[in-house]
This record gives sequence, C-alpha cells and structure tokens, in this order.
Amino acid sequence: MTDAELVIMIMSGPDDGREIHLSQQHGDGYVSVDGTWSLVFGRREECDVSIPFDTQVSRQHAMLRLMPDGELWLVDAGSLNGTFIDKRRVEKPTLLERGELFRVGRTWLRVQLDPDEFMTDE
Amino acid sequence: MTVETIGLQDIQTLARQETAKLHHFYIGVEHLFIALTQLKGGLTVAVLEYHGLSPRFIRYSIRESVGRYEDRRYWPGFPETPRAVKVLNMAQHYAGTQSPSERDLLLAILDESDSVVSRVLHEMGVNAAELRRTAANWAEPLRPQPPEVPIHGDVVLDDEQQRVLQLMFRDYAEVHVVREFAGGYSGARVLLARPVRVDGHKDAPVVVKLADRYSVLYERRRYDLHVKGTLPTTTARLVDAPVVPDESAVGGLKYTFVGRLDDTDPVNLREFASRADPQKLSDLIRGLFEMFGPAWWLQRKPYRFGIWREYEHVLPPALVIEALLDGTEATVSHRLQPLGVWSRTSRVMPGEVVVLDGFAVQKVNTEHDVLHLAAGAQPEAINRASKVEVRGLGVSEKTYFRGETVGRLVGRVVRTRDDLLMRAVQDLEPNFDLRLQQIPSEHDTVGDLPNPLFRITELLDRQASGYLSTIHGDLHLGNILVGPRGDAWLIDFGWTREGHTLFDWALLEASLLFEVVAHLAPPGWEGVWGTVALLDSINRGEDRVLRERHQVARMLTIIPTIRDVVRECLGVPERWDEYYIALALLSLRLMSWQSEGVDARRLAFLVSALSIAAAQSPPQTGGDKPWTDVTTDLDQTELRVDD
Repeated sequence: MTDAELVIMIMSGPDDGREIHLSQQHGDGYVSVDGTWSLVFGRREECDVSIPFDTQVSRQHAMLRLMPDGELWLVDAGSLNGTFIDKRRVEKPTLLERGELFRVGRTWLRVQLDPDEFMTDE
Repeated sequence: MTVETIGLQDIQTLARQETAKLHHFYIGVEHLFIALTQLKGGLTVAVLEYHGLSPRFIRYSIRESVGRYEDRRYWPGFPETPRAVKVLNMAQHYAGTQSPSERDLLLAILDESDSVVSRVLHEMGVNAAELRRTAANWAEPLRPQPPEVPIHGDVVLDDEQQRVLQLMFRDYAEVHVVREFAGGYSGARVLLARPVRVDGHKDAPVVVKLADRYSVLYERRRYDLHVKGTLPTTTARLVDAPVVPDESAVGGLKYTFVGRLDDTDPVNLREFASRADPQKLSDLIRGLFEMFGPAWWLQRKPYRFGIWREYEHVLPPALVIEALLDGTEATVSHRLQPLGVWSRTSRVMPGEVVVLDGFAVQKVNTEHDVLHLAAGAQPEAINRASKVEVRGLGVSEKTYFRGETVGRLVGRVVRTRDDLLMRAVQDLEPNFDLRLQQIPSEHDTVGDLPNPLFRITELLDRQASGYLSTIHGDLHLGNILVGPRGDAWLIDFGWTREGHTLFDWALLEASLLFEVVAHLAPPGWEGVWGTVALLDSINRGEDRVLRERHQVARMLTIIPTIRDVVRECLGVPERWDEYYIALALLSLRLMSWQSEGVDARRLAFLVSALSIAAAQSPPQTGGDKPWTDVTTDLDQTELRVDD
C-alpha cells in the first residue's frame, strides 16, 4: 500500500469543485507502522487538506484514515464545530464510503469513487 | 430579439449581488442558479413554475443550505469557484460561437449535476431530468426583463430614461441620482449619479448624459476622434461604450473624472458663477485655458476662411420649406444645392418653390414631422451650413436616418432665415423700429448700433485670418464642471471638431453674458443698455468695470480674462474683428434659446449689435489702419454651384 492514492473533491464554498490529489508516494499524510495512511484536514496550510477560508474549520479539524484493507475511517480531531457524514455528527471514528459527502466546519467534501473517472477541468 | 437585452452579464451581476448578500464574495453555481430564478419573464422561472415549483422557495432552500458567512473578505473581487468555471465553460460549449444564453447556463447547471444546486433540488424531490427536458424543449415566447437596478433620488426621469440608466449601471446594486445639472437647450439630461456596488461600496460619482440615441453615438465618435488621448488626465472622460438599446430612442453616456473628486459634488460653471466670487471664476477660466490650451486652442494652424464656413450653422435655418409631395416642377424658382450662396443672401423668397438636391440629414424629428437638412454629415462646421428645415414629409424613424444624403426634394418656402430672426427679435418687444438700419442708442456713452438683422450676409461673407485647432464646439457654462477643490472639467463632446479657435471663447463670453450677467442687471431695456455700455467700455480698453462696484460690473471683470485668452489666439495680433464677428453671430444664436428670459435674449441681441459695431471699427487705442476686409471670397467661388 505504499503507492495508495486518494482524490478528494471540495463540494461547497469558494473552492467548490476543486480536486485535491493525495498520494503516499509524494509524501502526503503520515503512514504508520501498521500501514494505516492518515490525512489531516484543517484550516492550517500545513494540513494535507487545507481549508483556509472556512472560519468554522479548526486548525486541525479531522483525520481521514485509509486502512491497509482499503476501508476509510473519518475521525474528528476535537474540532469546535464538528465533523459530519451527511447529517450525522462524527463522535467516534466512523466508516466512510467513497462517494459519500462529509462536512468539516461548513465545507462539504467527498472522497472520489474511482481515480480514473474524476472530473477534470483543465 | 427579446434576448438582446439580457445575457450572461446580467446573470453574473445578479449572482454577484446574491453572493455579496450572503457575504460569500465568490461566484458559485448556487449563486448563478439563484440569479436565473430572479430573471423576471425568463426561461428558468417559466420552467420552474411549469413544474409547480416556486422560484422563491428554491432560493430559500439553497440559501439555507449554504448559509451566510461572516462579513469578512479574504480576496478582492468575486472569483468563480472551479465548479462555476466548469459550468460556464459547458454553457459556452452549448452556445457554440454565440454568447451563452439563459438556457445554455440552465442546462449546464442541470447537466453538471454535482453542485449544491443539484443536491438541494434532489432534497426537494425535484426531478432534474424532467426540468432539463422542459428547459431544452421550451418553445413558448418569453419576455425576459433585464434586472432592475433601483434608482434613488428626487430627479424625475421618464420610463425610457430610467431603463437606459439601469442598463448603464447594470453591474451595480443601486444608483443614486444626486442631482441634475441645470439643463442645456438640446433636451439632453445631464445628471450626477453615484453608483453603489453590490457589496455596498459607493463608487465615485459619474456624470451621466441621457440624450437621443443619435447624439449619443455621435458624441462618442467625436470624443474618440478629437478628445481621447489629447487631453490632460484631469479631463472628464467618456467611459464604457455608449448605451443605446435598439428599441429605445434614448441613449446614455458616462463621464468619469480622472481628477480628484471627493464627497462634495461638482457643479457646472453656471451654478458656480451664481454664488462664487467673480475673481475665482476668472481664475478658473484662465486655468482651463492653461490646462487644455496646449492640446486644443494653441495648436495654431493658420486658417484663412470665409466666416460663413465656421458660423453659418449657428444661425437659424436658411429656409423652412413645406414639402410638395406630388413633385410638380412647373413653377420651380430655384434649384438649391448645399453650400450655395443662396443660404447667405436673401435671394430666395417665401412662397417660391425650390428643389433641393444632395442635402444630408442632420436630424429627424418624428414627433413634429420635421426633417433638418444641411450640407454634409461630417462634424466640421461647414457641413452644418445650408441648413433647411423641411416640414410635412410624413417622416418616421425608418424613412430617414442621420447622415443620409437625400436625393431630390421639392418644397415651397414658408420662412426664410430673415423671417425667423425677425420673429425672434419681435419676441423681445423692441422699443424701436426693427426696420431701421441703426438701433437708436438709449445710453449716453454708447452710440447708435447697427441692426444685426441687416448685417448677416455681410458678416457671413467676410474673410478672416485666424487659427484652426481642436475646439470643444459647445463651450457654454453648462458644459464646464467645477469640483470642490476648484478643478475644472469639460463635458459634452458632441460638437468637438477641428474648427475656428475663437469659436469656443466667443461662445463662452456670450454664455456668461446671457446666462449670468443678464440676471444681475436691472430689468427692462434700460438695464440691458447699461450692461451693453459696460461691455462697450471693455471693448474700448477702458477699466470702468474695475472702478464700479455693483454686481454687473463685478461679474463683467471676467470678460477681460476671456479677452486675454482671445488675444493669444488671434490670427493677426490686435485684429479683434475676427473675434467680434464670432461674438456677434454666436450672440444671435443665444437669442433664440428660449430657456432664458426676455432680458437675457434682449442682451444677446444688443451684444450682437455692439460686436458688429466693434468689428467695423478698430479700437480707439489701437491706432491701426482701418479694417476693410469685406472682400469677395475667392476660395469659395467653386463652391457657388447654385443658380
């Protein structure tokens, strides 16, 4: 799994429609010894998925974990305004389906289904 | 045709208003869609209503879904989101080589199907595929209305003027009409407007001119040819393309100031004169000359010309004719062509039948069924010579257009220029016999004055040696604006052209006398003669106006400032007849301005008479050889093509 890739699309706000390509090879995120790939969402620029213009996003807001078996887990990182999958608040690590909308602060996001079918603007 | 007034630009304007209201300050698909639901009479509203959906409820739902942000900005302007860019590109793709229509954008939003809009529609249980089908197949006529920009202020505008104003400021959230500048004589409206952007920012005030569409287009063209690039940066500039909607008779122009203009509003020089110290007015006029002079009046191209070439057009039409539509030629007395001497002599008489050949249309007045013809279509003064007013043609907008050359036209003369001028003077209730060659003086220090009614031909046929330069062409007090810091700007470039340099200054002097001084003098002929006597003293180089302390004298101290400018622009040093002739003829023009009271028009008449007298004799102080320049114009013989 050292070549895992994820594409996350921003689904609302000023960056609506922007795709963020993340890959282990390029050093995005953090890979722990058991092979779990962790990505940090937050307002800070150093975050893997940085959402700078949403004032309701905490500096480190949430984490997305890609398990070695391919499952995605969404974890709230003690944010002020919460992390949601659809309308449900994420209190504890929660399984996230690819293609399902989730929200940090007021920004909606989505993990794209299949890297080959992403919309391309350019 | 119906879509002509509404396009992507309007939709984007509404979208910006929406995003500013929500404090988003970016353009997303949701803002574009909300804009579509706000187009009254448009396709989106029709399609939604067809499916039983309330546009208002859809807007409410989308707004609730995205929420309002804090009123803080992280970037300037209104950037589009990547998804909005994608949707706009799709709309452009649907539109092909055309500009995207409302339908293209609506289909693109529905087809993209991944936006907040699509999610909200889905939540509402709307079948987007059905919406799309209806939108794609919609065939019933629509009447989309351009978004209405609210206009505030006390100035009353008619519907057409309001509509043009809204089109001119379609990018803005609202427009405040701060004031109207005291009107000119042409029916144009000149307003000071302060547009407010969608985010509440008040833009700098702009001067707006609403006039008939042809004058608007014409002025813009004159500006492009003569003004743009030649004037100092503090000039009022014409900005944007003129707004002339196809189906409207009214058009609009915007002048913006490059110079500094704070919160205090500019006034025109006419208003400024009524409350400012004459010395300030003098300084301003001098400043104007120094600022604009090098680019305009000081071009100093030597110019030897027959006065009629530059000044005939300021007089009433040479003839007014009633069209004879059956075209009987049996009794034709004159065949008239443009630029013939007939327009400067009194050869053609009322009742005679004339044939006009090759005249150009200057103005079409459908309301009164009047066609104004003259020599040509170009802006130089000579093209407005040989003016003829034709009545009874049954003109409509479609039959004639400005600049067109009219073939053969037969008519019976109902009035000549002499008649028109005679009537204008009769309106002044003269206390002397108009048939006399001399007007008997009513003031101790002034002699009898020549009656202008009998001197027109002589004046027009005179030759002058002067300069040619770019001139404003309509430099009366109303067209000079003064800002709070005493900066001056020029507006109204509708007559800007290459022409006789002194034209502007003679008109400015006449305008000052007519619009300001006349109001300060005691009423009646006596007051008028008093003013004329003071002016006469200035002509003779005396300093009476400096010694007398009453209002009229004080205001007249501005005249020597104008004359100092004129002195620098005279073709031959100290040959003032060049100027006095211009002043005499332009005063007669002002005499027909009905906007002013009878005493102002009386003054205009006597100023004309005084100027003719001054043009005939050199000043006492000059001691030059007498001015005997009433010559035959050799240059123009080839132009005498009539008879």
